[in-house]
Amino acid sequence: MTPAIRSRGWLALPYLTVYLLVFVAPLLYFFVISFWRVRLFRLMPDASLANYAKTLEAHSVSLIFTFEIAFTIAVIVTTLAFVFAYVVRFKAGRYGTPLLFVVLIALFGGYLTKIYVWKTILGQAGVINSALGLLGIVNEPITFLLYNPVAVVITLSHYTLPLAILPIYGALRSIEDMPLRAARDLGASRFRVVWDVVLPQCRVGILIAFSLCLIFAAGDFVTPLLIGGPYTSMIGKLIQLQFGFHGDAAMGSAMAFTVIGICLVVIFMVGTLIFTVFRVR
Amino acid sequence: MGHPLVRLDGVSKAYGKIVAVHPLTLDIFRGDFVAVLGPSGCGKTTLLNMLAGFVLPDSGRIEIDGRDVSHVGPDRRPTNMVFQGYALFPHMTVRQNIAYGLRIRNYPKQEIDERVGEMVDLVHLGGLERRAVTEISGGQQQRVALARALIMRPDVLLLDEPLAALDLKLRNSMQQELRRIHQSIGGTFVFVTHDQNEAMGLANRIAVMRDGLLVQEGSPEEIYSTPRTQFVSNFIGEANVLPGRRTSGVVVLDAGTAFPSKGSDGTVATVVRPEAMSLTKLDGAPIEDGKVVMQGTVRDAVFLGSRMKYVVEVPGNAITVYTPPSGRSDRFAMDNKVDVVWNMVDQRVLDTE
Repeated sequence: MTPAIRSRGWLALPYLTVYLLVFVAPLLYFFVISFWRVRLFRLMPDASLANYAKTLEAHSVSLIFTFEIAFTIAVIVTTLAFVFAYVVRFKAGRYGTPLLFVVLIALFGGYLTKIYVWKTILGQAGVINSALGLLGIVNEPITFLLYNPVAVVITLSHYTLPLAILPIYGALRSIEDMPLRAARDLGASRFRVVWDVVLPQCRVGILIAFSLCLIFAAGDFVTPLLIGGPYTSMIGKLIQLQFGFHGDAAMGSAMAFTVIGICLVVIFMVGTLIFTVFRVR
Repeated sequence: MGHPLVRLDGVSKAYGKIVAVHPLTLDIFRGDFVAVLGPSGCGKTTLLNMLAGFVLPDSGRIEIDGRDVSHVGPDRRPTNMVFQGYALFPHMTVRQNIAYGLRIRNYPKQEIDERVGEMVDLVHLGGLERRAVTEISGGQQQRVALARALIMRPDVLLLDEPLAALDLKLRNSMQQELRRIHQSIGGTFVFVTHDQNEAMGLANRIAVMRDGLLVQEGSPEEIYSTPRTQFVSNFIGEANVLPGRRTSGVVVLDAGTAFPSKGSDGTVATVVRPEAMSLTKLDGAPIEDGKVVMQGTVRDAVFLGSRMKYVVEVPGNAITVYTPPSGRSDRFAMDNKVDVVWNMVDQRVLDTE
């Protein structure tokens, strides 16, 4: 680092202050109290792993279910996002930019709005049922569309898709066209070109997209609450109950950090997988 | 000359209403080093892409080694390309770039290693195998691109403006390199260029293109000494183009001289290379048979080391003359009257109508 750059390090100070105060400090606070205990609705300092033990003991089913759903969403969305970003970057030509703009517009739509949109589409008096009824395919509204895990996967996939497209598109943008031609010329099929030349160059973008989707889906509690129905007991819902209904912030923190921990492990494993499968040979 | 290795037969390509290549027929023989030469937008790159398989022709037929490849994709043609700007894989090392084509075809590792070694030796890249291609110089990248294509032992190696991105010094040494490599592997090379020096310096056959048409094809000597059109004469080397008119077997140049020339009546352009002309002072001496003389005034005289360059003003034209340095530079001083002389066998009379 040159002296000129080092001496201007103080310019980052306001940002660092805000980051420390608003993000790091609260996170540390919750991390510390996750080892505390709550007695008569009051937090008591402690240094016990009891909350973590209880999390794994009492909520393991919910944790596994949550990560099954979150992983499914992350895989589906990352795949779709790659296909979309690939088409925008390499195939759509002058329609690429308008397509990308549509993605950005989708980001503006509110979170709750999207949830209610899906409720409207999938619900008993929803778009699908009305259409099926009008066509005479069903006599009574079908009820299995809403209030189940599949509805949660659909809704969260729809919400996270734009978040996943942008990092992948960013990575694809820095890939040049001519080496792709060169690969074709050297005998690679269209698929091999993507596998050998495109994917190895956008591994980081793919991992970022996957991580964003996984973290968002694993921690969300609004969608399971409104769309998941009674049997979709995702961990976010339970954490929220700990902080609210049960008033046990220590337990809630332990559960939250368990989720964060599992997320990191999954991201590390998937990252290793991506970097191995799409390695340069 | 036997059967041509590559046969382009009536091949054409249009993009919408713009015709990139008019129906074109060209034979390329094994061992040829062909230059497709022309200004930008003449269709030469489209022609190369049609040979490579990136562009499919609208009409006509492309045959390589007796096989019709007109509609075969680039991945299944016996051609490989050295791209303009090299198009190396930036995420791979030098070795990985060179080995890529063989790896796709699932060659055994031992053979890949052997052939990569051969290529590294051929293009002098020893010691750089493990370097990232982003860390090596432009000239070295050029060699990697060459090795990556040649390792496939293509029937035809295609090169798209292979030297355009290099500086002058590197370009000259790379020209020599290309000639050496062509000789040592005995392959068939086709390259596209807008630089006539490059074409003359590398190729044994030159195809001149203009506006999507193949204007002339032949050895560099043929094209230089007997250009078929005024465009070719101007594009290949320097040329003095003297307009005139032919009437019943005699051409009268606008610059004020006449000589016999067979052909139909009409306007003509007489092309004479600057080094085919010489300057003299006849002072009324008779003109030798078979020579043409034109009177003019010296407007510029430049000593270029190996030769003298004169610019001589003649009526309605300024012509360039190269002569061996005389050592007596005052002989044709500025603004002196001189006689420009050349042999009729060294001129080309082209009908311009």
